[in-house]
Amino acid sequence: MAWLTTLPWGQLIINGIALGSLYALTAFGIVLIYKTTDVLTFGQGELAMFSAFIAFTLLDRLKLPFPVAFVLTLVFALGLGAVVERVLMRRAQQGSILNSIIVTIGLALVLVGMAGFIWGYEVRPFPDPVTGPPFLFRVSPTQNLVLTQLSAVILAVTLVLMLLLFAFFRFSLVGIAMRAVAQNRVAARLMGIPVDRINALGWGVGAALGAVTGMLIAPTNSLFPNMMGDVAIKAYAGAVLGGITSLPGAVVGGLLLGIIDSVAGFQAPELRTTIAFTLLVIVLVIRPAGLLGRREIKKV
Amino acid sequence: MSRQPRVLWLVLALLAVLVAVTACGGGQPQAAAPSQAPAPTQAPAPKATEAPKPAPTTAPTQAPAPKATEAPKATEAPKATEAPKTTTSGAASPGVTDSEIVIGSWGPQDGPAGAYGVIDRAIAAYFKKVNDEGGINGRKVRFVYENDSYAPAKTVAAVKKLVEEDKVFALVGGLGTANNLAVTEYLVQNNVPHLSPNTGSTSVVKPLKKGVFGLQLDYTTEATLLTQYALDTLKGQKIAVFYQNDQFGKEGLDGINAELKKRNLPEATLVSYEPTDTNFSAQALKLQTTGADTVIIYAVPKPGASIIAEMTKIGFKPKMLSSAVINDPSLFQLAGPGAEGLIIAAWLPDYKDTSNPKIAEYQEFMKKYAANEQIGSFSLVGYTQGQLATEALKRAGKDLTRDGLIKALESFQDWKGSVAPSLTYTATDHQGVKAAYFQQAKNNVFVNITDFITMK
Repeated sequence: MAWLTTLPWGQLIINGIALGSLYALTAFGIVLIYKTTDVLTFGQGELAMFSAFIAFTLLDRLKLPFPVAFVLTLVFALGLGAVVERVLMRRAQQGSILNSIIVTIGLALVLVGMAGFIWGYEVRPFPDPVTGPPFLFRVSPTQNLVLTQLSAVILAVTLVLMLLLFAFFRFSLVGIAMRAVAQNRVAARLMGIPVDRINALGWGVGAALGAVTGMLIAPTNSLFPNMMGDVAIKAYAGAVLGGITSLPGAVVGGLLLGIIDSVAGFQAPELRTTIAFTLLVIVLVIRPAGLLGRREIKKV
Repeated sequence: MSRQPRVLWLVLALLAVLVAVTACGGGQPQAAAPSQAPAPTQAPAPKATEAPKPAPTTAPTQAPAPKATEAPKATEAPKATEAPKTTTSGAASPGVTDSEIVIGSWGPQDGPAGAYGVIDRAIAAYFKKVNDEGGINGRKVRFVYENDSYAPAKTVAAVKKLVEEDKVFALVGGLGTANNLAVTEYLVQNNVPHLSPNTGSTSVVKPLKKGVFGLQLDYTTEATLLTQYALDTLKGQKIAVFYQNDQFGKEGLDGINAELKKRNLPEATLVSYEPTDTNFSAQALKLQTTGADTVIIYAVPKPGASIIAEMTKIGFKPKMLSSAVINDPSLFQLAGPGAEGLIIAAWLPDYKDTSNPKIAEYQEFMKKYAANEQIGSFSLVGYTQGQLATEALKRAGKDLTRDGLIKALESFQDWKGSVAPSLTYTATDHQGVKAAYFQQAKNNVFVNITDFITMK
């Protein structure tokens, strides 16, 4: 176990947090949609990718400044999410729970194919939203710990969004209505909540969150139709690890998985995915609801 | 609410499935790293993970299957029933009429590796030029290329269609290592020549196969040249290798270690990545902590560019050499300033270097016959392959047979008529380019720093 002490832990953990915040952001969107619409979506990564392409087009073809492109992309994603709910999910959800899951997988494939058709499969660089020298933390005369500005921004955005949405669900009327819809559709409708509109809003907000994710991930991972493949899988794992019903759980799970991924990638790169998922399985065996998830108790 | 536990199980089950899919099929998405450069090479890479499995299995199983219906004896069947002349030389050859020669190819026209598709389109454009100029020995070339989306199973179907329905005379530039492995045996059995498969894997030409003639610099030779250059010219003391954990990366790795062993030097330190990986910060850190002063990269463009970017982020600036596979037009944008000084071994001249008359000619050709395609290393590969095929067909003469074509190719002796450096084939050696020159990144372009160098 000597290697345990020789690992460059400081940098590994910083890298892990940077990587984990990508997972956390994606996981966050998944949990948000799950919480509000009771659908586990497998299309979150691809929604993010598609929005990132939209942002890219606005930036690169139309030469818009980043903030403008950012806002326009958010608006687009909000609409896209709502359309997805209105056209696909509302119908699919009338069947079994499996139907809607399959529909989201189909959605993911369609989005990848469409992006490939429209923009091509080549890997493109995506402009950094922030530029500047990385933050250096001197730990010894020879060794600096490095955190890039982009990673810092991603982490900050993730935490701020988490707090905002946490407050939104806890304190705002619409947020409470969303939770009510997720818990019991029929009762919510009887209470006068416009269930359909709330669902569309849930998807819209989820897709907008995905757009933020895409625009922040693309600068690191570059822009191409399959850019979210690996990230999305790890994000699911993060969401489940943290507890699929918990927004802070998604963030904690994503970050934790990022750190595991970073350490495993350093020590045994060919096993990094294996190690990450083995730990995931172990955690779920011990705590089936995830680290921060609430155990759902079935009332008989 | 009561559904919750079930949902959780579903999630787990789906996760498991998805993980399984990424684990074994994962290569693809990354392969995506589409744009690769001398692409062909990398083709192998992404798929490589899959390659060993699907490829060999699909090939044999698939081959017999369709045939079985027609005739029990798999490979012999089609020839016997459809085209008796296929195997025999001398008689009129399949795909050849008085006015036409049918040539085939395959490659991805869509999907993650779709960027390679330009190679086939460039070959098609080249044959159009040849036809406009009167054809070859009085015959026009009809070039049929199939889209296999870079999936070896589809390659098998595409090649069978080319051979059995289109009755191609020969193939030119079929793309991908795994894809080639999946069909090479079938092609050899059916005596269909395959000129310049687009892969840098030595496996397609070694051991020698009758009708298969490699063109591009193979990974083993490339890796040996890179190592020699790192040790002798750059005076590297400690070499680390960043490689893709599959056939492509390992072939490079083996070449590097063989050269080190020959000089009684310790083996290189190894840092691998999986084709599915998208983040390389851990590997960059590992490379830094090994204390290596020289890093050789055997990676497809996207991971290759990312590792350079990540090394730069943590302030690690070793001497860097890389397989030419990394040379994609987007490399400098993806890798950032860290790519400055990167050295690659190239086997085709720089597509931008119009001071080279052959390249000027190529660019003119692109403007005239492929105006919508990108001038870049991929289309240059296709152009070169068009040149090679045309020369071989010319030399095979008016009385065109497959054996005649093979003989014509084996007569290539220091042929310099294509963009590629000198080409020599013999009856015992079907590997084409064996020399490379080094290029170094300066201000976001690769500039030549040596002439063509052959292995010591």
